[in-house]
Amino acid sequence: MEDAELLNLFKDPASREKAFTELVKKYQERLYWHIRRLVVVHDDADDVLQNTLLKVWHGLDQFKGQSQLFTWMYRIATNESLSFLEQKKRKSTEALDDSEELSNLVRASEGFNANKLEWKLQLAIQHLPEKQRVVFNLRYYDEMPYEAMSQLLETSEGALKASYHHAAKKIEDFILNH
Amino acid sequence: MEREKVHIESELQEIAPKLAHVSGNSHWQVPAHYFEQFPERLMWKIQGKKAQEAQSASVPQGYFEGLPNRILERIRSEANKDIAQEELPQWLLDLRTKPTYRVPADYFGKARMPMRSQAKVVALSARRVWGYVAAAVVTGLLVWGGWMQLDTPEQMNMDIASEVKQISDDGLEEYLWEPNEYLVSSKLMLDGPGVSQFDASVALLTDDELEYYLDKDPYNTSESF
Repeated sequence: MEDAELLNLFKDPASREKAFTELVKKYQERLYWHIRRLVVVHDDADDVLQNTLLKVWHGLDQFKGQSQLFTWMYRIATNESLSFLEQKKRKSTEALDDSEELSNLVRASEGFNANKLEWKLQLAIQHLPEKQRVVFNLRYYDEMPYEAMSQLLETSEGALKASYHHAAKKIEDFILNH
Repeated sequence: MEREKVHIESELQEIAPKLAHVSGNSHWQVPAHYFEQFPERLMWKIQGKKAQEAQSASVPQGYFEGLPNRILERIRSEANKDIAQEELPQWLLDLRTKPTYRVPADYFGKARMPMRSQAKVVALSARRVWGYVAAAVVTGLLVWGGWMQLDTPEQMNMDIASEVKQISDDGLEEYLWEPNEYLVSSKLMLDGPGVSQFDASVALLTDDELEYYLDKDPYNTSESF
């Protein structure tokens, strides 16, 4: 079902819940993996995904259609993920920086193998600064065009290209040196 | 979408060729049936929140408009509650309003509360007023006289100083050489142990010293003899 059709059904109280269920089914996995790559742990990703979709439920009536529905949902998911990490950092008693804490979570993941290239890639991503981490994930995993990314992150395409370039180089260096 | 994927791969090949060969497949695991069950779990959560919001924040339509009438109705029903609960037969209810006991004719019209006797009022006569005035005058004189008897040190000093200044040197000399009634009658001066010593001290003084002493202001304590 197309987004426009789902939005029309959502406006009708009789079909509101059905339309929303369809919307969730359509985008849940992509949103989940976007969140999971940022917060690393499944339970945290589940909480953040629920909060994201609750906000979508409450805000869908005000959605103006200025951007694609999916881009709008991605923006909410990104903001929720970063807020979650910020809160977690404040609650943490250990004085670790973000990258160290997230790397530890990757190492604690089920099936982690430090010798496997795929796990090294995950560790390398967690060592990136926050903005570069988001840009790299959106481009590398979600294959998002710079134009859509620019709307989502409210940053110029040039700046996003530079961020992605720096991130890719840092990751390559990390993999080669670890 | 496919074009974008090709573009991303060539871009990565250009920036970081080693990274382009790494498989991007995620090895993170998700609990079984997580995505199948997620929409239902989410809708339960939304429904729960909706019910919670409805309970906590909303009031039935027209609730406040009808509230005063509902309260009055309840007050009336509370007042009749005892009777209704007893379920009395009609004939018994009718008897409630029928007078059984009789009172003398015009009893309530004549009924008066007994009056309390008035308090005694005493008038003030002219004689009694003059008596109070006389008593006040006598009391005032007594107080004034008593106060006049109390000489303060300042008053005493002022009187003595002015009087001594009026006495001539001859008068003072005469006073010193002639026997003084007060000093003679004073046991303190005549019989005191310092009298003989005082006489001896005075005998040692020259006339000039005595004259200086007599000229000196007796109340000027800043000068020493």
